[in-house]
Amino acid sequence: MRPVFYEIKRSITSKFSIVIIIAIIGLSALVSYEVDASSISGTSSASVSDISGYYIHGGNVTVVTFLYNEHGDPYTGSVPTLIANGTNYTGKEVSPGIYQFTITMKQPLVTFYVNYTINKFGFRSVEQSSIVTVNSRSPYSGYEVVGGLQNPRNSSSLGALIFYVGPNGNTSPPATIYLGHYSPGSPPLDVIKDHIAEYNYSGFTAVALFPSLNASSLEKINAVMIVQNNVSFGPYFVGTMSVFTPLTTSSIASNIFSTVGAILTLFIPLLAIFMGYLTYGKDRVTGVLESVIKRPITKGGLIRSRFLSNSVVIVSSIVVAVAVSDIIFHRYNNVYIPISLFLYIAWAYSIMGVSFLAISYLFSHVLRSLGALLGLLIGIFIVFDLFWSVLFDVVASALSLSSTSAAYVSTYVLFDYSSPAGYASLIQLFFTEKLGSIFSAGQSINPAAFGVTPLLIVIAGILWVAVPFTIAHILASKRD
Amino acid sequence: MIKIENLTKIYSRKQGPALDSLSLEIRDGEILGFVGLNGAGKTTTIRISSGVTLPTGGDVYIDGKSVTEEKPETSRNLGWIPEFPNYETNAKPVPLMKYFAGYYGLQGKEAEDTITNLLKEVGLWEYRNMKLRNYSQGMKKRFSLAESLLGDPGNLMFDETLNGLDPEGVQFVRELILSQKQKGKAILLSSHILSEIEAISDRVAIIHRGKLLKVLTREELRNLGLERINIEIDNVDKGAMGILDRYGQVERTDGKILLSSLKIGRDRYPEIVSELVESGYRVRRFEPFGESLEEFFFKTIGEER
Repeated sequence: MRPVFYEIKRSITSKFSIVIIIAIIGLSALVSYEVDASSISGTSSASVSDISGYYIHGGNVTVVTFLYNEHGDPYTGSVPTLIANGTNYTGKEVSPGIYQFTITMKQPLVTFYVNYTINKFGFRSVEQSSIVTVNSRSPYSGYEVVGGLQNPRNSSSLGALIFYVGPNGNTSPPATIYLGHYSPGSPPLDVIKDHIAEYNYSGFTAVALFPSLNASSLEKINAVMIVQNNVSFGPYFVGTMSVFTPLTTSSIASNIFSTVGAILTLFIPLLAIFMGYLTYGKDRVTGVLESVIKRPITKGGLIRSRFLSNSVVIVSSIVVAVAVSDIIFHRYNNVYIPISLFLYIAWAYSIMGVSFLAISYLFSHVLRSLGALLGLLIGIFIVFDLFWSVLFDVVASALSLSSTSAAYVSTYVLFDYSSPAGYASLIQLFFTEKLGSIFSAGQSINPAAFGVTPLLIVIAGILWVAVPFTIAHILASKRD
Repeated sequence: MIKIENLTKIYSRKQGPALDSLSLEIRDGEILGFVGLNGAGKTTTIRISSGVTLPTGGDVYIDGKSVTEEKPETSRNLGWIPEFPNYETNAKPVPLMKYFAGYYGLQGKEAEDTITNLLKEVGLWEYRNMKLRNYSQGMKKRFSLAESLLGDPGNLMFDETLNGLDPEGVQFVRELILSQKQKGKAILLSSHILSEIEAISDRVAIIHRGKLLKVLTREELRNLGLERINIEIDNVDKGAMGILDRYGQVERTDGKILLSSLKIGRDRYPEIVSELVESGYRVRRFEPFGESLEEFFFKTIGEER
């Protein structure tokens, strides 16, 4: 076995590392799921929905149910069941995603709902439609419109689904569909006048519409008007046509830093410090390292080999955690993290972790007592990771710095440069132009004005790793 | 071959040097006993030779290569068996030895075969699935022997390896050392058990306070220090005692005579026998002998003090 593989294996398989790595990846996934899933609502997520209409013929009513996905496309993964008056009816698929149920209409009012089964994360989940009432005085349901469809070509814009059940189950006759801005209190015909999109369709049961939006359309309330043989139907409200804030690198960065970033900031220094202690510092202080130094390797070679092995484990944990978070992010937002952002995030937390690792190695060569070394490393973790922001608050408070002042930001940046745990915060500032929760109310700052430039960030990262490790390397090579 | 040249080690300026210009040579196929009191510098010498400790001055050459300049090459040809072997507590013998074997370029089946043979050789094969933390001190020493022989180094250094071993363990180590010697390896054997050193060493180096006091050859080991002669004579009387008195100090106990503080050299010993015989005494025993290594060691150390 090549020694470096054994050292990587040893780094990964210590009980402490296993627990922390599982915590890093597992908690990153959970937090990402929690944040991403809760930020998405309705049909905008990858989901299945239903809409039902009906027509009455003779003494029967036929219910027409359409199952569709977030884009308004037919969903054929489940045969729905209709429940009316305690009786279950199995649907008959008449076209993709469209099912029919025929029941005897014993009363003037019939109430029903539809059940269907979908897959959620590999588990079967039974979904239930809202309750629909059939009134014998209305022989067919006609047009129904729902909003919130997600444009498959542009996740920042929504669409509307037009559903029609005509007399005897006929499809829609030729109709002009207008989709436009709607101001509460204004006449419905203003939708036609101010429409942003116009469509002509006929012979459909369900059709999805995705208007092209410009910036002025994003926050407006919209409605649909349907004109058939000079008769207007509507307005059908479809809300805003963009419930999504268009995703930018900055907003994705904010999301990732607030989810997986929070977990990594806590656990990566913990993993690095104690992995350094368990696989190097402890071995050195107790003399175990001598059983390796006596092999055909230099002392410098040994410290480099162990450091590299530990670093590989730390970086791998980060990459896996961010990748898992990325998959979850994609699950709910339909976009992956831009590769450049992925690399920057991996770089940021890798530098953070490897810096703490290097510090751990450095002090392993300064102290000769196991207890003193462990105590010091715990202290470094507590001060430089857990309480660094508290120290900043104390300093800012002592200096009476206003949280919106430039001095406050400068001090914040200075603190970030002064601890490896602050390194990710610098990268976050660079991408989001915000510092953590500061200026969160939409107020941006110019990173370069506070000394956060790509060059300085790279230099700071290299220094945080290189300086402690170089000193540790010199001590390892030149001292007993 | 191990060549130690002017080796000096100063741990602290407040204390004297742990090693003071120590020079020594261990030839191939030779066992050099290395004796000295605690703190004499034996372990420091071995640790420097193994590349674990850095010298303040001088150097050690393993098969002509410098420990300070070419450490990987020297370590490849040197096995060090420390007094207190220390390993990862959670490691098991085979995976740990595979890791060590990687440093010697041993991979795959070759490594597995080597490890199997070594563990069998030291009697640990049946304990290969135990964690090292559950090994006794004796088992750890056996494991240390096995892992130190990885890569079949041409030079070996045993640092108090016999300490803490039961008689069977001592015999096992002794036989292993002798078998390694027969393979032509240069062996440095540091031990406080001077009888063992005396029994198997080809030469013995005495070190005190970091300085080499003396190196004894096998021949010198047999005749250490000032010689004495055990003599047995029939019908001992004043005449015989008078003859012997001229050659040295005479002590008589239970019919045996011990002649010490000899006034003549070994080449003239036959004169004593001749004079006794010519004077009509029957000499039944005439046995010159030296001091034990232990006696010699303490005397040498005492002189240095």
